[in-house]
Amino acid sequence: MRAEDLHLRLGRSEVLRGASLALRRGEVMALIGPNGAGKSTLLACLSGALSPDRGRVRIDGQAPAALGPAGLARRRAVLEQSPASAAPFRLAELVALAIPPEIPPAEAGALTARALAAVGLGAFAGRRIDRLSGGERHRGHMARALAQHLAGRALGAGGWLLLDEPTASLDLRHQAAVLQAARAAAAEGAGVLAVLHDLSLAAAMADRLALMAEGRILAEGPPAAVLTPERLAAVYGLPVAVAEGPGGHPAITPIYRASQGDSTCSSP
Amino acid sequence: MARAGDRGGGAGGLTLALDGTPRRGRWPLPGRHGAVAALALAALGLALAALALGPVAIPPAGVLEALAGGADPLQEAIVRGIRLPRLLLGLAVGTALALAGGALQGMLRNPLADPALVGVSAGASVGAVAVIVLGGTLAAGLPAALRPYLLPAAAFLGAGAVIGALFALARRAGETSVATLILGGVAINAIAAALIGVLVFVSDDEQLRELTFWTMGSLASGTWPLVLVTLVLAALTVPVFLGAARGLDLMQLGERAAFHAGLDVERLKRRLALATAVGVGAATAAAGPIGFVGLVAPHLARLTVGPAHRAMLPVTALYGMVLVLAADLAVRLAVPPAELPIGLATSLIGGPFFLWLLLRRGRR
Repeated sequence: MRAEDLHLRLGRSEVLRGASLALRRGEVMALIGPNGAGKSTLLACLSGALSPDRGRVRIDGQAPAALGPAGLARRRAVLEQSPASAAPFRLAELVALAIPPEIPPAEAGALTARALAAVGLGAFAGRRIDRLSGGERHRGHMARALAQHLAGRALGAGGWLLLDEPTASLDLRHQAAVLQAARAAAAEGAGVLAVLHDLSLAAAMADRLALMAEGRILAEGPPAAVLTPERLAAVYGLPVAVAEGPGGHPAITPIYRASQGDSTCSSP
Repeated sequence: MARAGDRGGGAGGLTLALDGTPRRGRWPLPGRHGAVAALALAALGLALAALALGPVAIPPAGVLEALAGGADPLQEAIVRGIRLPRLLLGLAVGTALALAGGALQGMLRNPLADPALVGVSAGASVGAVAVIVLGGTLAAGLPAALRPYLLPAAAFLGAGAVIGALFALARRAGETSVATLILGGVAINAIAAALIGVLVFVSDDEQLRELTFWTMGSLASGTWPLVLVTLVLAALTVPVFLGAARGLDLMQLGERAAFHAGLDVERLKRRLALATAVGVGAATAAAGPIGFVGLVAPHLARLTVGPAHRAMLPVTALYGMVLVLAADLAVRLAVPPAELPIGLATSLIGGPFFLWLLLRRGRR
């Protein structure tokens, strides 16, 4: 799956200015960068939901428009940035929604159970999603994306997972659980692209990082090569310390400075 | 002690408010099946009552004889000539309005959408009234076989125009807010009322009579040609609506997520817009504007079988039939031999229901 020199203008702002990215099968790539860098827009172009003004996207060598919605859905599954359902489905219903009707019901049930187990929600299948906590619901939507991915594989296509902030609103344990599920999919041959904001988490869980700012990919490669203090300070506008973390991965600590007014209380 | 009482009352109120929503979702499956079976039985019972009851009461055996032919000629004339077309019209109108309401609610991700509230019925009314007032010359030029289609066709065009405007509004806003939708409906209903007012102004005495009766809404105008046209058009929309079940489920996740899961969103919208315009147009042309069926039926269906459209849509159609048949029976039996407009009965049920929905949403 690749994006080549994408340019896209949304309203007045030029969101993508020559973004290029190549995602390989079997790897987890984290897309990092400050808010407004164009990460979600790049993901939407890769998923076929948006078409760029200039540049091209290829999924298994084909243009998204040529694949059509159903063909795309077999090849790539997407977790949206703020997934929500207007209807109070049961969790298993929600997850099964993403499985195309070509899959027979028994197999669809098995895929649903597998996807729910992968995010640790196996015991919640019959629960109504409006009765779940925010984090449980978010993992439920992650299970929906996984189920679609598994169904795509069962139909002989599958292979790409696009996750927009899959760890948002999750506690530490479940952040790890969701990304481990993504890693497991990659181990079975999927190419996973995940937008992440926690740089240390990204460094620990991803094979490669792509750092995005102002509509372009600034750096791409193994975590240690991408995450340099100078680069991060320039991109995020905040001094950053990079140390070696427990697993040998870079651990990122921003250096916060309290503003002068906070420290002392002086009266004129 | 007073404080303890206050606390208790407060906690009780809270529990009630919280409990109101979940209880229905927990209905075990046999209960659901039982409810659906009871509903089907109610529809059947109402259909029989629609044939048996009226100014001349005919016992059930007489109804069956009249249907089979070879009964008392008077009874046969009443059942076959008056009550059977009226019953079939009721079934068609109930199904079409209820399914259109269910589909609109699903498409717009908005449980307050109803063909009448958001102005689709008003658009159909403008088309129908235009034909009643201005269509005389047009109809004279048409072959007799096509004349029954003129009214539904005009209503279809009016309904289609409004749905087009609504979907454009929905697309612009992404997720259409309740306020946008209801205010849009207010505006569309006002425009339609103004257009109808102009048409009333230019109509002659006979046309005025005809359109006044039509505006009040009734299944009584059911002559066989009109009933057959309505029945065929309503039947055509049913597979389109039922076939959209998965798409409507996916639409609950938002348009982007529905596309991600493989749904051709634009195609679904076009098909449902067409089916809604045909269904509401046909129902409105034949029976006048009937409000709230499209609002109440899908809600009752969700309370009975949950939100998944595969089960919810057929149950919605059943509720639509039951509501329209019950309303028709009520207006027929209220002050015999006179008949109240059927819209009175549906609004008496639907108005308070709508207020209750608004209040419940406001509490959340």
